[in-house]
Amino acid sequence: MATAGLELQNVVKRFGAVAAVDGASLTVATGEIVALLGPSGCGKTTTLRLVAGFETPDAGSIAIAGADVARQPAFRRGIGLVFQDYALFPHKTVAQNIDYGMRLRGIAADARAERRAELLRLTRLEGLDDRRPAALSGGQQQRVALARALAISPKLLLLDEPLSNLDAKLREALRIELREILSTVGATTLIVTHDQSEAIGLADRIAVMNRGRIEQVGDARQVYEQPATRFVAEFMGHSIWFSGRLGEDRTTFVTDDDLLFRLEASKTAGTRLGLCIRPEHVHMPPREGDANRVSAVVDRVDFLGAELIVACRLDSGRVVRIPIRSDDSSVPTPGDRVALGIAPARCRLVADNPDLPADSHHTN
Amino acid sequence: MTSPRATASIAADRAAGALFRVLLVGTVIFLLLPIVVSVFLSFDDREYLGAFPPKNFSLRWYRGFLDNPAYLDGLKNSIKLALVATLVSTAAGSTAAFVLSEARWRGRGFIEMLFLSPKFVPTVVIGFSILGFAAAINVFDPFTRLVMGHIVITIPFTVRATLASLVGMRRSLTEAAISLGAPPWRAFLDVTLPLARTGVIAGALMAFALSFDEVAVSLFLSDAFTQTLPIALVAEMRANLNLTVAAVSTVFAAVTILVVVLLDRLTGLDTVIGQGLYR
Repeated sequence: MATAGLELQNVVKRFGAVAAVDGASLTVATGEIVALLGPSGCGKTTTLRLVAGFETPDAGSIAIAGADVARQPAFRRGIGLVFQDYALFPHKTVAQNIDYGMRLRGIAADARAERRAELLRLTRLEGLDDRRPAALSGGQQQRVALARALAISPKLLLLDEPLSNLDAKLREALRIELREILSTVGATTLIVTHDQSEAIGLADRIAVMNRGRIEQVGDARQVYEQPATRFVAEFMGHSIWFSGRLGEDRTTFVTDDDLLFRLEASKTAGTRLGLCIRPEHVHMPPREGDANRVSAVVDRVDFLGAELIVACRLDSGRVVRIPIRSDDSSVPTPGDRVALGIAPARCRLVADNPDLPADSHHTN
Repeated sequence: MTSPRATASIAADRAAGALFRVLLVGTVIFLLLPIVVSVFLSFDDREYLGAFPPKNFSLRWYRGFLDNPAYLDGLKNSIKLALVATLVSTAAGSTAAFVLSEARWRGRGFIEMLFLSPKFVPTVVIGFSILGFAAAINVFDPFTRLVMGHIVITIPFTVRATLASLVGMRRSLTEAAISLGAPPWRAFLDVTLPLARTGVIAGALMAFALSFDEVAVSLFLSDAFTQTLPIALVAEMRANLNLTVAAVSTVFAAVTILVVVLLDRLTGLDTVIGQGLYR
């Protein structure tokens, strides 16, 4: 078996009585890019700081390229870290920033200059050698931070919310650029982010983190289409969640508000199961094959450009928001009684998180 | 066309601007004029504090200054004292500030308060306490006593100035250096120290200026044979008031200005301040 680029096993970190990381396990293959995705406070930043060596785990092991580093000081770990605020040395030029790690390693001046030129070319920063960080745009600063981290030929690259400090328009372009640089470099990379589009756009695999634990690891499609838990279902994109009971034959599900859904035979095990439906899989009006029909009254219609969001009030009083394309001929108006159709294949049984309130109506 | 209200608000803006300029010029004059007057007086040929401006000029008071060993010894002592006190106070104060700015433990605020407290204690009290303390630990050398006293009164300034320059300094900067392979001490030398330089230098300047013209504490800690220039000045004024005092004041101001300019030249203080901390 090849050694993993990064391996966390049952890592625990407590701050006082609070376990910020509560038994997290994750394996990143050599050369793989994994995004650690979760809401703020889920423990992802603490995980990053544990891997970087700025915090010491209370339990568990952290191995980089097969070597246990849990007790190794941060400056010996040889990790390239790109900080959320970039943390460029303001009193040093771009060239001095990039050189810093190489200087500490005693690399000769000409070898440094060669490596620097290579990195500046890779990050498209040629000619900016003598600029101070303050004279660079946000995107350029980020690329300098990346070049500085890559200069030490790190065994592992850590990116902390790499795109969050950039304005929305730049983000898309820089995401593509960053992805290209990362695949050129081919380094084992862990990206920490709360932004699912950042995770989907940059990473090979996504690890969804919640309450100090990693709930699911998989590629973007798996995590979206086959969420392992209710938390993952609701964190990745939109979902409509129904708590209820699974029938004996495992092909029917009765929700707590007495709606009956037919399912495809499911292998999902567990005692606390709920039903997850993606809003885009709800048809209005129902199509052929939509064995599940739910009656609702239109509450309001929001125009969002390419699509419309129709807020539908179910008989239980619960409102679900269903997207329809704005070129659909029959746009309902508030007050209309409509039928919603869902195919059994689109009704997914998902393990409920015991820590999420059973009656909460997350529709977004 | 502008509305009457807009016209009124423009007029109000102008009035406020004019008032601001008057206040600014007034403040500068108020601060500088006494020094200018004393510089003129130091060249006055008359024996007494006469009407301004002086009619005849001479260098007799400067000769008086150079001929008076009390003044010359005082000047020598003051410069030596200010240098030693500044050095110790800057080293100790900045180090304390670096530790305090990193500190997360409880009681950090209390320790900071202790360092700043000499600012609020009457100097007379400090002077007397140091005198008693020095005697208690068998220190009777007046210069050593003076150094002790001057460190106590200058340390709040060196601590404060360095702390101010560290406020808002992101922890990620040091961590970046560490992640690139720098042991913590190296990260401190390469990142924290250069970025805090402005504060350290400003603190040192304040400490020097403060020590150089200190009277109250020095009054307690000096003796008849080891006097500082300000003490010699006060003593001389009591004994026989003449314009030598003006000449000494002028020398005083000149030395202070010289130190500031020198440090500025040596360290590029102006460029650091002008560019700001994070450029």
